[in-house]
Amino acid sequence: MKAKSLWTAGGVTVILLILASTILFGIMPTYSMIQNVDNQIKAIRSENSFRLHYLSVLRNRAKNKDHFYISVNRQRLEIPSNMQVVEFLNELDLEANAAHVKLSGVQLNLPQTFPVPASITHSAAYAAASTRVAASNHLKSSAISITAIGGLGGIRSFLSALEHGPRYVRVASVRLSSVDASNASKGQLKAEIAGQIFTYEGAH
Amino acid sequence: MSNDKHRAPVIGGKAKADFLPPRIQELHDGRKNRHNLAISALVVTAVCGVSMLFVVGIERSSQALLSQQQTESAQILNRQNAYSDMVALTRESNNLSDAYVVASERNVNWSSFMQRIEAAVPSGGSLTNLDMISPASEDSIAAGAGATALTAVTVGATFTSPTIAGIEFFILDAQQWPGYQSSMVSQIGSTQSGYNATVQITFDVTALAPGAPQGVYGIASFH
Repeated sequence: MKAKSLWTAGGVTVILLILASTILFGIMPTYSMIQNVDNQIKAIRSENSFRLHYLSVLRNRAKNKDHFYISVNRQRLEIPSNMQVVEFLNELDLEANAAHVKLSGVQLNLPQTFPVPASITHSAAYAAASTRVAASNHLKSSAISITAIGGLGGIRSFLSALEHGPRYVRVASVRLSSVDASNASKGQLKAEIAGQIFTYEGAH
Repeated sequence: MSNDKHRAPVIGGKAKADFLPPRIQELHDGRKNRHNLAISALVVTAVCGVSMLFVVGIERSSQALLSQQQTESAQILNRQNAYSDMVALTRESNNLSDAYVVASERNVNWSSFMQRIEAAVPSGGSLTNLDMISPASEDSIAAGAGATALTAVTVGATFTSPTIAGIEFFILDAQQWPGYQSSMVSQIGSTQSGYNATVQITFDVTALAPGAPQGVYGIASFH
């Protein structure tokens, strides 16, 4: 091979080496670093906008602090941090008196950890909430059974009061039957109500 | 070459003759070639250098932007600290809201069910027994053909009616209630005043009244 061709081949090789090493060891790693940094920026930006939204929510809450306290207190009454048996019994008594029914029995079981079941309504709210509740393991439920005697209208009112009362009572079943033959004619019925009340430990 | 022979000489043209020996000519060509190669290598190196500077510049500006965003993030967090009591309350509110949503998914508005049943009992008749059952919150419900095929509520009503038509109307009425799935008359017996009927009615999940999220929501990732 001629000396000129050798020189040309060598020169072209050197040029290619310079190009390749710049791309491989200079531009490509820097470009990937840029991509990485840009992704971080995007993530922080979206987090920041979320945080700003949260901050504005907090500001608004702080402006209406009293209102917010009342709202949270209502939630605390619905699902308290402990059983609050006395308050619950008092609530039952008041509701029964208001509905003109007589409470003939109340049974409360000890709270058990609530096993979060699979959804049957398939709502997005349930899907998100159930994941967090299952992870925290703080939700407990206590089985309750209440027996009340009264007229049909009274029992309906009592049931409505239970459903809309300050403490959340999940009624699973209602069984109405005649008290006995003589009382049935007077419209007296016995209602056996089974359900659950809930507690949430460590809501803070 | 034949064309060159017949071509007429150009007027005013300069005669050129290379009398250098071929060895020297070769050396000249080689030097020129090396020269060109060196210039090309220099140009390529310069282009590579400029590209590197450009890329590094972009990287630096990205880094600066990142640190600016991080600073902003820290500032927002600092401002949030001023509302620490609100943060704690919001967290509590969200936790309780989640608990409520989970606990009340199978909620049934029983009093409105009772009201409908009462209204459907024929005039002159009365409700003597009523069983309304929904699955306990933690029970799994056996899946049917689809989500709506699940039986969420079962109602068993025993009532008296002066006529058979009254029982029919009761069932027709029940068919209009939300989530109605099926009904079955399990027993009809005659009494002194008319008839005594026991009807079983089932309802799907649309009969449920699940609780909605409460308190502060939409900021779930700050749980």
